[in-house]
Amino acid sequence: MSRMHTNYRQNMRLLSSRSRVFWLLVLVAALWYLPSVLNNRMIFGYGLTDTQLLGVGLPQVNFALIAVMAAVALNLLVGYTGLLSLGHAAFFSVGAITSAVLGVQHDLPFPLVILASGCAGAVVGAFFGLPSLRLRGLYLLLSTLALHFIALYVFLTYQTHNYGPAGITYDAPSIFGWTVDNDDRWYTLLVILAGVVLLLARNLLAMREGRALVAIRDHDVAAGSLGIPVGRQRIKAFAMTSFITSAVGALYVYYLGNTSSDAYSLDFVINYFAIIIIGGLGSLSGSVFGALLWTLLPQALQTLSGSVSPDTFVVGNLLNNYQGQTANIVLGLLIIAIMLFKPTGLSGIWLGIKRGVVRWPYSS
Amino acid sequence: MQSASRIGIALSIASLALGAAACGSSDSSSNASGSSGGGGGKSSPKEGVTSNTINYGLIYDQTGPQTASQTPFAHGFMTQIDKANDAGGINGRKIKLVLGDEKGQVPDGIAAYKKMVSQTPVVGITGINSSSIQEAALPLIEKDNMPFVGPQSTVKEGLVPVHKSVFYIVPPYADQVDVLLGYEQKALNKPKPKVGIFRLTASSGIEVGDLVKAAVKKEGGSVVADQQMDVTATSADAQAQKLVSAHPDFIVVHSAPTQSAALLKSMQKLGSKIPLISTFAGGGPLPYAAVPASVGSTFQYTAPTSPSDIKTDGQAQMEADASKYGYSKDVTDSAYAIGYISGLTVVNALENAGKDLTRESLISGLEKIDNLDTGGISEPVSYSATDHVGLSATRPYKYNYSTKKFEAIGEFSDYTSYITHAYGG
Amino acid sequence: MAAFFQYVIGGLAVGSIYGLVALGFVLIFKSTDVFNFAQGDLLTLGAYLLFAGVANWKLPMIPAILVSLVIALVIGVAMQVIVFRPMIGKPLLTVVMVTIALSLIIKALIQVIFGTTEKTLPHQLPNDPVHILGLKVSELELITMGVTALCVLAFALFFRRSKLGLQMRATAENVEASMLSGIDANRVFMVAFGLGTAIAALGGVLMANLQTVTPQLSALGLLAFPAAVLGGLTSIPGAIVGGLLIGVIQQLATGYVSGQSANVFVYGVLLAVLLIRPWGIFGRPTVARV
Repeated sequence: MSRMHTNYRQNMRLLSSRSRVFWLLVLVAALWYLPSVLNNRMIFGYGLTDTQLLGVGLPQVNFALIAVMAAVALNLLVGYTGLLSLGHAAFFSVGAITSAVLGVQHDLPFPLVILASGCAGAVVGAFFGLPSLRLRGLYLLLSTLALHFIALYVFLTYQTHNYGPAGITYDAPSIFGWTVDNDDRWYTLLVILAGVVLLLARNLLAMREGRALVAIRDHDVAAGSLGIPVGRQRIKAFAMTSFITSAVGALYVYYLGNTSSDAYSLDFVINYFAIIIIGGLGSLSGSVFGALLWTLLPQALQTLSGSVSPDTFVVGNLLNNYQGQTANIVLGLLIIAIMLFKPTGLSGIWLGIKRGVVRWPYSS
Repeated sequence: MQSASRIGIALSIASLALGAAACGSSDSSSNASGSSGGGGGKSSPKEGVTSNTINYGLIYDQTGPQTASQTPFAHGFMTQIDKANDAGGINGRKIKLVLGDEKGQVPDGIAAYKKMVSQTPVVGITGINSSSIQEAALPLIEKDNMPFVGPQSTVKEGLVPVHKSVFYIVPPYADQVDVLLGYEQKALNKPKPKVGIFRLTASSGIEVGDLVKAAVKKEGGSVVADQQMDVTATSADAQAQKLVSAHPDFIVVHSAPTQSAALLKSMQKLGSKIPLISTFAGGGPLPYAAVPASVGSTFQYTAPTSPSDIKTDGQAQMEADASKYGYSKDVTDSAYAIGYISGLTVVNALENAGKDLTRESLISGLEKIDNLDTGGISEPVSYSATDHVGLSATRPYKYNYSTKKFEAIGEFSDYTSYITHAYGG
Repeated sequence: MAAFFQYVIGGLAVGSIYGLVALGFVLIFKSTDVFNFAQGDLLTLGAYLLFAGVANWKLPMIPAILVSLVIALVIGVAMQVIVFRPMIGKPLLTVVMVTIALSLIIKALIQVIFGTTEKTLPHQLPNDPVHILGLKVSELELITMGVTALCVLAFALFFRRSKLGLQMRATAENVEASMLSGIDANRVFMVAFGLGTAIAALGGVLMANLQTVTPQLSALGLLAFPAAVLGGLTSIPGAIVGGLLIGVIQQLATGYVSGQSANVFVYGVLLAVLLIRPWGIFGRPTVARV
C-alpha cells in the first residue's frame, strides 16, 4: 500500500511505486529460475522429491500458463463486462481450425498463424455477441450454448472431411528459425505471451474502454445514458476476448501436437468458468490464481494420494483404486468451502491477506 | 517505507517455513528420482529403476467417459503386478505402478505421459487406450523410445510402420473386421453380403467403418446402411429404424457395451431378427443382460479372449488371483482379462530383460516373448522384431440363454485364414 | 411416412425423461433461484439407487423404485440444508459454482461406491413391443409416458389445491412477502429440493429400465436446460413440453440427418426460440426494472 493516486495518469501507471518495481524483479527472477528447479528437481542445491514439488513439472506449468491466458480473456468477458458466455471451447476450436488450415495445410509461418487465428476468433466472437444485443443473463448464456454446439459441429465436419478419425496433427512450430519443440522453449514462449496478455488486459482496464465495460456490467441503462454505446461495446468485448482466446487455442493445439473435436466439450467450458469464479470474477490476479490452482491442484492431489501407502485404513484402498475420483471429491469440497466462506474467490483471499499483513497489528 | 518492511517480514517468515518444509520432511515412499543404490544389477534411476524398485507406468481413464471399460483393464493389470510382487518381484526388485489419469482428454493424457518420462520416470508404460490420446502421444513415445505396451492399437499409426518401442496386445481393428466379416459371410452363406454398420461417432468408429466398407467392397458386397451413435446419446431408436429399413444381411457393430445394449433394445422394439456381429469393444455380458433371449440370440461378438464361462486352467487361475487381490467384481469383464494378459506380458518381458534393466533392455525383453501361454484364456502372446501385436487370433462368441453361459463358436485357428494382416504383423 | 411417426413416438418416450429432469430443475429454480447444474447427476443417482435396490438388496421392482425415490428425496433435503441454506443471498454465479462442485462430488461418489463398470438391471419392467396404429412402441415407453403424464397431473393438483403447493408458489413469486405472510421459507426450500431431486431420480429409474446404468447418464441433465428454457424457465408444464419437443427433435434429426447433428438441431431450435421468444412457450415476458 503506497501513496494514493490523485489523478488518472498515476492510476494508469504500471510501476507506480518502488516496492512494485522490486516485486516485479523478484517475480521475473523466480520465473527465470523455475524451469531449472522443475527440471533438475532441486532448489539452490537442495534436492526435492516429487511429492515436495507436488508432482508439478514443466509440462503442467506450461498448461497452467495457457490456462492463465484463456482465463484472463474469459474474465474480461464474464467478470468485467458481465456477459455470460459459454463459447470458450468454440473459440479454442476456431483457433485450432485456423491453425489447421493455415499452418498445416498451407504451411504459413507460425506468428502469422497465431495472428490469423486471433482475427478469425474476433470475427466469430462478434457473431457470438449478436444475441447479447437482445438477451441478458441466463438467456444469453443459453444462446451461446447453442452457438457452441453449432461451432463444434462445424469443427467435426471439417475434421472428418480433411483428417482422419484420430484428429488433426500439428508439427512443432518455429519462430524465425527458433524451433519450439521442447518444454523449456515452450515455457519461454508462453511466459512471455502470458505477460503480454496480462499487460494488455491491465492496460485495457485502466483506460476508457475498460471502464466502459465495467460500467455496462454494473448498470447498462445508466451507462447508456452517459453516452457509452452499449451494444457496440458488448460486441467489441466479445471480439476482443475471442481474439485472445482463439490465439491461445492455436498455441494450445500446437503445444499438444494433436487435437480432435471431443476435446472441445462442455466440460472444457465449465472448467474455465470454475477457474474464473474460484479465482475471483472481475480480477486479473484472480484469473492467474484460479488458473494455477485448477491446473496444478489435481496433479498435486494425485501425487499426494500416490504417496500414501495402500495399507492405510480405508483411505489407502480408495486412493489406490480410485485416485481420480478421490481427487475430484476433494476438489469439489474445496470449491464449496471457498464459495461458502469467501465468494470473492482466491483474489479476495489474497487481498485479505495483503491487507491483514499491511495493517497488522490493527487488522481485524 | 513501512509497508515494504512489513511485507518483507511476512515474506521472510513464509520462505523460512517453506525452507523448513523442503529440507525437513522425509518422504516414506519417495520415488526413484534422486535415489540410487548398490546391490545386484545396474540401476538406472533416470528410467525408473532403482536397486529395489521398478517403476512402471499405467495411464488409463480413471474418472472420464471411458472409465467403465478401462478401470477393469487396469485392475487386471494390477492383479498380475501384485502377484509378481508377492512372488518376490523381478530379479530382486518390486514393481511399483505409477498411475496416470487421462480422463479421456488429450491434455491430461499428454501431461500424464510427459510426467512419466523424466519427472517420475518409469521404465515402460501401458494403457492410453483412447484413440485421440494415443494419436497425440505416439510421436512423443517414438521420440523418447519409451517402451509402450498398449492393449489396443486404436490408431493405425501405431502399427504402420512398426516402431521399435511400441507394442500391442489386442489384434488391430483390421484383423477383427476380417474375422467378423469372414465368419458372418460363411455362417449366413452370403458371399456378396449387404452389410449395415452401427458405430460410435468416435475416432475408432470412423476407422472401423472405413475398414468394413473397404473389405465389403473387395468381396463384391455393398454397405446398405451406416449409422452412428454418439457416446452420450441415450437411445438408438432412430438408428435402428434406418438400419432395419435398409434390409441388410447382417449388421456390424462397433461401440461400447452400453450402445450395443441400446441398439439391442431398439431392435427388440422393432421386432427385428437381423444378425448382429460386434467387434471386441461392443461385446460382453451387458448387451445380453439388457434384452431377453428372443433378441439376444441375434447378437454375437468377436474377441481375442474367452469369457469366464469357458473354463480353462488359465481362467481358473485368473479367478483365483482376482479374488485374492480383491477384484472379483471385475473378473467377468473381458477388459479385465485383457489387463490380466497385458500384465502377464509385461512381467514376462521385465524378467526377460535381465538384471540390467533399462528401457532398451525392456524392449528386447518384449521382443523375446514367444508363445507366452495364457492358460487358454486366449491364444499365446508372441512378439518379434517385425510383429508387435501380441495376440493375432480372435473368434466369435455367443450367449446361450438357456444354460446362461457364453459359448465360443469354433476355435481360434478356424479363423486365422480370414486375417489379411492389413496392418502388418 | 410411417418412419416419421415412428421417430416421433420414440422421441416422445425419451423426451418424457428429459421433461422429468427439466421439471425437477424448474421446480428448484423457480422456488429457490438455484440454477442446478447437478440435475443430471441426480438422475444418475436415481438410476444407481434403483440398481442397488434390485441387485444388491434384492427387492422386487416396485418397492425398489419407491425406496429409490424416498432416498433421493432425503438426499435432496439434506443438500438444501447442508449446502444451499448457507448460500441463500449469495450471487447467482457463486451458487452455480457450488452446484458444479456438487456435480463433481456426486459423480465421483457414485463411481467409488458402485464401481465404474456399466450395469444393467437383473430384471426390468416389461419391454415387449406393442402395436398401436401400425407403429411399434415398447411397453416400457408407454409406461414412461404414462408416468410422466401422471406426474404433470399430480403437480398441477399439488400446486393448485394443496396448502404446501400454494406456499411454494407464493415463495416463488416473492420470498419476502410470503415470509411476511407467515410462510416458512426454509421449509418451502427443503420441499422444493427434495421434490426436485426425487423427480430427477424418477427419470433415472425409468432410464435404468430403458437403457443401462452407467455414469454417463449425467449427460442427459445437459438437455434439461434447453428443455426448461424452451418451455419457459418458470413454467412447470412448460418443462415437460420442452422436454418432449427436444426428444422429438433429437430423434427426427438422428433419423433424417445423422446422429452427430442431433445436438445442433436441438440447440439451433433453442437459439431461434431465444431470439424470437426468449420467455419460452409457456412463460410470461418479464419486465426488467431499471
